[in-house]
Amino acid sequence: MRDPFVVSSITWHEVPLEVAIDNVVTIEDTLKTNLKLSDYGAITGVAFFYIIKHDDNHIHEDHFSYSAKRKEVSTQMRLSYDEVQKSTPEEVLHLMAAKYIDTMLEWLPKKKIANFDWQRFVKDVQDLFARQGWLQALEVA
Amino acid sequence: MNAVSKKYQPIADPPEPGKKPRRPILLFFLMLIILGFYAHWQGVDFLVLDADGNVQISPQRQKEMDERIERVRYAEQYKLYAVADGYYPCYNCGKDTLIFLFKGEVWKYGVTFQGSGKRYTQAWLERQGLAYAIEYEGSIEECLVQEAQKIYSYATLPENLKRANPLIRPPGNKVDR
Repeated sequence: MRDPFVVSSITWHEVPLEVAIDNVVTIEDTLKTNLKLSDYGAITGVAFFYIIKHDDNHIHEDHFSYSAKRKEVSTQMRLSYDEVQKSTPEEVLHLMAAKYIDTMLEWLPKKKIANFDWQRFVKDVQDLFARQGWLQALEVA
Repeated sequence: MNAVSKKYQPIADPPEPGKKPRRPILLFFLMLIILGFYAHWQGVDFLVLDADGNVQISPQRQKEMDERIERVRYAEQYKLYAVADGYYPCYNCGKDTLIFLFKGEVWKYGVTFQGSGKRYTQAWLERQGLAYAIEYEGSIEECLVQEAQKIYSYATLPENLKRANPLIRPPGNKVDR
């Protein structure tokens, strides 16, 4: 993995670059700048790919894996294509931030990764995204 | 028979004390043969006889075939492109192994279908600053046509023509396929 935090996208080509590129770069840069993955334990990399495409395409499905050999988490999760299409890039950024946290909250406990403080990691990511104002919708809820 | 020959006539080997009879060995070989037949029978469980006595592939193999045809029917042609300005591996740059790409510029065209080696593509996304865009969906044949058109036409793209030494194909495509 090229960096401890990797964020990218798998999108239908009509998804605007502001979403497919700019948003993922923003999330990745924010994570890299503010968090040090080694502070939480043994994991050396977390890759997250957002899938934004038609629902009838099943080539890319939700997926979460941990490689104990490489000590890397790799995940790809789908965002609703229709919801993205009717949202602004800023709104999609909020959807992406929420998806990142929801995914980690759901899957990291299941993986039972040794020597990794997943709870503190998720909390710090959540606090970080909240400071960016990306979780406002969640906070209202 | 003289006395000498009588004295030195061959003596049959006496049975060795404790020598086991041959029956267990025969049984062992018999079991081997039976196991061989069983293994052979297991090896052709992909064939069955239908009601008319005709040889058919087994329902399991039929199911696998249907699933594979279904997967291959739905393929996609994609591109991998740069998410940020920077240097990326180049397989078509002569002696240079890296090329500078601007955000959004194409690195590679490819085709994939359900169940194929997606992990390979995902590894590229993890290793390089690349994103994945699905450009066409259809049968694998249609997608291969799209891929060929895009690989060959890449040479005429403005992002390629502006270079001092235009590339024959995208930096990430090692060959025209």
